[in-house]
Amino acid sequence: MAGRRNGLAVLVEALRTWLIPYRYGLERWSYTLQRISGVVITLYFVAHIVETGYVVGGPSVWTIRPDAQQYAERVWTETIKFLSNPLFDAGLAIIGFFVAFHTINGIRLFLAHFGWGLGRPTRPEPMHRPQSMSPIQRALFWASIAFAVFALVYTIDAFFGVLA
Amino acid sequence: MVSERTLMLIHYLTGLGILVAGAVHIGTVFLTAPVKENLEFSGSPFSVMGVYRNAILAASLEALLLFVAFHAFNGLRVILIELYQSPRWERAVTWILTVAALLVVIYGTRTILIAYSIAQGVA
Amino acid sequence: MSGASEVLLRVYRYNPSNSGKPHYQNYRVPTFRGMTVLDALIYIKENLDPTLSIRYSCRMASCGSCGMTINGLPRLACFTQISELKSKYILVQPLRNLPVIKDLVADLDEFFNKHRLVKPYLIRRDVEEQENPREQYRQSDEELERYVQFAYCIKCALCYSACPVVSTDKNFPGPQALAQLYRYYIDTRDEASEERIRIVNNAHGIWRCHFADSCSQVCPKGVDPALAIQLMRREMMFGPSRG
Repeated sequence: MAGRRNGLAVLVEALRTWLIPYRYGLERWSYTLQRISGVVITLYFVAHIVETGYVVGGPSVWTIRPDAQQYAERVWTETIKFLSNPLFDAGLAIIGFFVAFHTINGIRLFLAHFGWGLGRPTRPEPMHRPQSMSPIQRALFWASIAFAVFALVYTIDAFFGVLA
Repeated sequence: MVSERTLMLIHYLTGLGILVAGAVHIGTVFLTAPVKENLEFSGSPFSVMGVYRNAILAASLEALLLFVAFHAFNGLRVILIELYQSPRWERAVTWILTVAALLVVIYGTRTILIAYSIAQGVA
Repeated sequence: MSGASEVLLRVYRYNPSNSGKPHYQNYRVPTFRGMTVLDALIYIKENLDPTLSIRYSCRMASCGSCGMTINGLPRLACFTQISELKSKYILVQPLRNLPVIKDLVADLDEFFNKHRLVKPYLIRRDVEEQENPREQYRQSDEELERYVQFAYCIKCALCYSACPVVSTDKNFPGPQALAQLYRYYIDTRDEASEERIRIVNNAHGIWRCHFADSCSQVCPKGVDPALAIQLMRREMMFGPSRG
């Protein structure tokens, strides 16, 4: 396998394993979702830094302009006007979903990576259930899904006012 | 070279940091008043300029910037070095992402400092 | 035929010496109560197609040589009954994440090399004692319980084949090797803690485990590699001889 792997084959194989969690159980889904949400939040983060940067003048401005306040207020108002459309609001709702999931699932992984809430090794009996899939871990995974759905609904409501 | 253990320790700690600073950021935007009101330039205490009038909130934004920059770009590094293995690729990924993270931090810090100055009435 | 029940096996075929391309071949196999996938493959080899290559030995989930991908999941062919698959159609492929030698036989060399990498044996600082041991080392039940589960490993490579990290990171030791690392690290008779930590504290080492838990999901012996890796990581963060 090694040596004969070209770039595209590596990428296809990687995406296939990372993005198709089917058959391997809950934890594999959490792995896939954590990865997707991490990348999406990173993209949002960079976009957010660039967007807010323009409010104070963009990459060429490194000092405080004499009309800084008026300039910032004008650009901010224009930006908000440009961004207030259903497309960006829906995008923000999805970001909300991913942020909420990544947060709670991140707490789960933080605990798990340090061996907390996992149970102790025992002698494996037939039909043994892995200790690493402990009820605490399961509960935290479902909590992260629930919180993510709540964030999705909350963000949609905040922008579209459907529940009001 | 920083050991992988140290990098991951910082990854976990910045994760916890984001939990606090991120909660403050999202809380001020979404929970203190209707979103549309908080997204106005100034006016309410948690509008864009309102946040920067409070030194602690402004500092928490800077902390959030630092934490997220490390956490996000280290996460990207992990994904990319898992994608393909060669010493050259790994060096390139590490350097490019370090520079990118620094640029984001410097640019974001500039924005925060200028916004803070405006809010304090320096301009 | 008695029983009169049949399954369709769709089997991965690949013969490098024929310069052949990988392809699939279908076989109809009569089943009986308690028949395993390995029984079906042996039936094919004896009655339908002697060119089919399979590797097996004990037929009772002890030797770990008949690991393959059955209906999409890595399983031991001898430990998987046809009835438990609840399907008249069975897709049989070689183990993923490993090169294929022929048909259903995967090359386990890299898997065993990674196992060797973590030094899966007890190490004593005293060289004389290591080579010609004279002492007896007593362990309490509690000390035994800490690692005995991981000593049940039969090196069948199912976890290695299920791991999403191994599939792209060829330098990652994999669940089996890391679990064995912990099994010797936590053994009270072992004295090489620092050395063991050094082996896996790198960019492609233990930190690349993301706890997808697929390894523990597929282990036929109830070993929990994911648990061992997390406990090892705890030792490396907070243990007495951290990296």
